[in-house]
Amino acid sequence: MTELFRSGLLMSKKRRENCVFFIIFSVVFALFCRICFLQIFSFRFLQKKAEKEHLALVKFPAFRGAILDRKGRLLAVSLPAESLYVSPKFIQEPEKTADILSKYLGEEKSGLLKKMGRNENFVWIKRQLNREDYEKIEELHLPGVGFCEEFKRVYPKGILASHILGFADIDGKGLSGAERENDALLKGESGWYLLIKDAKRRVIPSLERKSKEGSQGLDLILAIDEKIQEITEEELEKVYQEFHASAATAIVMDPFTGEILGLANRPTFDPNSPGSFSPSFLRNRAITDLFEPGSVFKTVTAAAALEEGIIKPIDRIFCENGKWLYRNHFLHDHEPYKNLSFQEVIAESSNIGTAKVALKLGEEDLYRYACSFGFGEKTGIDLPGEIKGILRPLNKWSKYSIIALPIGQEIGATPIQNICALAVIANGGKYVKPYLLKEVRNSEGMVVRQTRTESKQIISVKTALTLTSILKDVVKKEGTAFSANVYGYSVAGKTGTAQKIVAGRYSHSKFVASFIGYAPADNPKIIVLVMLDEPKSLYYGGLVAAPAFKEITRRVLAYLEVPSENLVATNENLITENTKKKYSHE
Amino acid sequence: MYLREQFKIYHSLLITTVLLVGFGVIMVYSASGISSGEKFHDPYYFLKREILWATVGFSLLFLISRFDYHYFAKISKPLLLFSIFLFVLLFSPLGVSAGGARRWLRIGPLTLQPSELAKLAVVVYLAEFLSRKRKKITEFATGFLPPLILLAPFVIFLLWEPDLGTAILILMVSFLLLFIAGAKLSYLGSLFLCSLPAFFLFIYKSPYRRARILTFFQPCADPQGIGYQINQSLIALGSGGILGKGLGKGAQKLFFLPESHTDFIFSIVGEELGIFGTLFLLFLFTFLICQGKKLAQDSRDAFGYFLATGITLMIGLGAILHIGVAMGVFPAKGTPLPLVSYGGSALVVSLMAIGILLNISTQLEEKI
Repeated sequence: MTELFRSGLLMSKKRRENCVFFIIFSVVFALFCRICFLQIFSFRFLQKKAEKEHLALVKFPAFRGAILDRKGRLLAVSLPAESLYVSPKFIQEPEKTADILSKYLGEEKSGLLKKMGRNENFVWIKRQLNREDYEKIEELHLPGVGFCEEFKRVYPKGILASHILGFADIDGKGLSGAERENDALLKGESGWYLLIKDAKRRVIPSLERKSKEGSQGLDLILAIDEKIQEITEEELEKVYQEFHASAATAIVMDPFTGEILGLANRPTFDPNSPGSFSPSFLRNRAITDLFEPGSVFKTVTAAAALEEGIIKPIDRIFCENGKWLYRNHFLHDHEPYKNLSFQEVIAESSNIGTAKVALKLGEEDLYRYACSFGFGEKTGIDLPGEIKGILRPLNKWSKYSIIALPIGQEIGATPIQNICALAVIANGGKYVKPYLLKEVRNSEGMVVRQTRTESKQIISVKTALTLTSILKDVVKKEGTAFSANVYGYSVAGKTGTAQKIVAGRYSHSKFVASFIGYAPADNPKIIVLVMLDEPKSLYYGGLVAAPAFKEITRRVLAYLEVPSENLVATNENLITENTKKKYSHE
Repeated sequence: MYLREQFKIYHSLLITTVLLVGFGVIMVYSASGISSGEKFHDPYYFLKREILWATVGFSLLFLISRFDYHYFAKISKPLLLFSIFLFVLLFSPLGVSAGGARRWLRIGPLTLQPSELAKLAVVVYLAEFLSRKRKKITEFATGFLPPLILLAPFVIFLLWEPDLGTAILILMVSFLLLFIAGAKLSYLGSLFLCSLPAFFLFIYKSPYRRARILTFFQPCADPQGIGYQINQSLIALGSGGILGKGLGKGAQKLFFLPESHTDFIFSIVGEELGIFGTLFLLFLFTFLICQGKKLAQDSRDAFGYFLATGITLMIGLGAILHIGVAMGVFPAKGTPLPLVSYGGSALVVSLMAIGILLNISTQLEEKI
C-alpha cells in the first residue's frame, strides 16, 4: 500500500474512500437517530397502535349478589344463562340458519335475516335463553352462531316485595329499588383478560396474557321478612280489591329500629318482566307519592302540645258543636262535639279541638315539631326516588295555616314519613330512620357491613306514653277506628281521612283513607301503615284502612309469636298503673 | 507490533461475525417459530435449517480464512461465469417461483439463491479488475466500460427475477468501488443520469413497485393497504420501546409482518429486545464496517484493498438497506439483513466473504 500512497492518484483515492465512508457513517448515524426517535419518543403512540392491533379485551360479567330477606330467604338471585349471538361473516347458509333460529326462538325470520346481514362481527340475536332452547340450538353447531354465558336476574317470588327489590336490566345493572340503591355492592367487579390476536384475527393461546379475576357481588340481607311481606301483600291486595282503590300502600316497620319488615304497593308489578307493566305500576308509592296526612298529623300536634306542657290530657276543650269560624274560614268536625277532653279530641279526631290546641301552641312550635317528626325532609330510607314532601317554611304560612296544619292539611307527606312520625310515639319518643338493608355479606357469608339504627330522642318518654294511651282510645269502642282492634293485643293507632285536592279545591268525592297503628301498644313489636288512595263506596280511614291494619297486625303478631296480652279491663288498669310508676321514676 | 494488529483485527472480525450469526439464529427462531409451526407443523423448521447453514458457513469461513485470498484473483472470471450460469439455470425446471419472484434454484433438498453468490462474484471480479487496471481506470474504453459490460447481465437477470433490492445493492457497491478506484466523476455522473430514466421506467411499469414508492412518502395514508408493511414494521419497532416486550413475546410476527424472519428481522429485534437490541445490532454492523475499512487500508496490495472494501460495502450497505427499510427510511423493499436474517445462500456467502476478510487480515502490510 505504501507505494500506492506515493502516487497522487491514490491520494485522491484516499480522499474518495473517506468521502464514501463519511456518507456511510452519516447514514448510520441517521439510522441511529431514527431508532431513538421511534423507540423512545414514538413509543407510547406506537404501543397504543400495537395494542389496538393485537389485543382484544374479553370481559366476563361478575356474578351479581343475591338479595335475601332477614331470615336468609332468597328474593333475587342471578342465574347463569346462555345468550345467542351471530357473527354474520361466518354464517354459511343464512336462509337455513334463520329458519332454524326462528323455529326455536319464535322470532320473525325476516328480522333474523336482517340481523345476519349486518356488516358486524357480533350481533345479539336473543339474550338469556332458557336452558332447553340453548341445548337444542347448541347441538346443531351452526356456523356463525355462538353463545356467551351471562347472568340472568331472577326474582323467584314474583311480585312479592317488587317495589322494594326493584329490578335490574339485562346487563345486570340495577334500575330501581334496592337493586339500584345498592348496585355498587351487588354488581361485583367484572373480570377481564387480554387476548393476543394474530393478523388473521385468531387468538394465540400460547403467549402470556394479562388477566384480572372478577369478584363476585355482595349479598344483601334486607330487613324484610318474607312471611311478613307475604301477609302485607295479601291483606293489601284484599282491601285494594274490595274498595276498588286507585292505589294502596302498606308498610310494616319495627318502631324501635326503623327496620322495614314489609312494604307493599298496589298496583304492583313482576320484577321478572318489568317491561310489560305500565311505568306507574313500577312506582314505589310509599316513598314517591305525596298525600295530605290528615288526622294522622293530629298526633304530632298533640305531641307538641303535651311536650311543651300547654295542655294536659284531661283538659277540656269546647268544640263549637262541629262548626267553627276562624278568620273567615269554617272548620268542621265530622260530628258536632261540645266539650271534649284533650284526650277525646285526639281519639275522636276533632278538627276544631286540635286547631284550638295548636293556636295555644303557636306557629313556631308547631313548625318546629313538624320538622323534628320528619315532615318536609326525606326519611333517608335506602331506596331511590324518595321525595321530601311539602312542609312550607314559616314565612310562607298563610294566616289560616295555623289551623290547617295541625289537622294535617297544607302539608304533603309520603306514607313512609307518616309511619316514621307515628313510630316516634310508639317507641317512646325517638325518631328512627327507616331502613331496608340490614346486612351486607360477601360470597363466603361473612358480614361486611351492618346497618345500625339511627335514632334521635325528640319528645320525652312521658309524652310518648301519654300519647300511646290516647291512641289506644282511638281503637276502643268510642274511638274512630274500632275495627282496628286485634283480639288479644292492645292496639294504639290513628286514622287519617284526607280529602284529595282536585283542581285546587278539596274534593268531596276523592279521599285518601289511612290507618297507622302499633301493637302491642305498650311494647310495640310492629307499627303498620295502611293507606288507600281513592277508595270507592267508603272512605273513612277507620272503616277502610283499619280492618286491613287489623288483619296484618293479627297475622304478623301471630307469626312473630308475640305473647297475647289476654286483655281484660283490670289488666289494662294494671298496665296504666305501671305506666304511672314509670312516670314517677323520671 | 504488526502481528498484534493483525491478531486484533482477525479476532474482532471473527467475534463480531459469531455474535451476529448467533444473534440471528435466536431471532430467526423467535420470529419464525409460530408461523413455521403453522405452515410446516414444525416450529423448529427454520431454526434447524439456519443452524445447519451456519455450520456449513462457518466451516467454509475457516477453510477460506486459511486459503490465500490472491487465489480468488485467479478464479474471479470463472466465478463470474459460474454465477451467470446459475442465473441461466433459473430458466430451467430447477428454478422455483415464490411470491411472484423466480429467485431460487432447487437442487435436491437444497434451495440456492444465485443472486447471493452473484454479489460475491461481482465484488471479487471488480477487485481483481480494478487492482489490475487501476492505472487505466480514468480511461473510458479500457478502464470504465469493461466492468459495466460485465455488470449488465447481472443487473438484467436480477431485474427479471425480479430482485430489485439485490440489483440496487450490486449497483451501489460497484459504483462506489469504481468511484474509490478513481473513475472520472463525469463518467459516473453521466452513467447515473442515464440510468435514472430506465430506473423510473422500471418502477412505474410495475404497479406494486410504484405503490411502494408512493406509500414511502405517505406511510399512514392507507394503513391497511399498501403502506401495510411499513406501518407494521414501525409498530413493531416502536412498541418495543426501550426494553422490548421480551424475547419471543413480540406479537408482530403473528402474520402482521410478512416474512418477519428474513425481510423484517430487525423490526422483530426492535419489538422483542427494544432499543438495546436494535442499537446492539447497529453497533455490531458499524464496528464491522470500521474493521473492514481499517483492514482495507492496511492490506498488502491493491487487490486486497479493493476486495476488503468491496466485501465491507456489500455487508455494510446490505445492513443499512435492511434497517432503513424496516424504519421506513427507504421505500419498502425486502432485503435480508446480512448474517442475521434467515436464508441459507445469503448466510453461507456472507460467511465466505468474512472468511476472505479474515485471510486478508492475516497478510497485513508490515508497518514500520
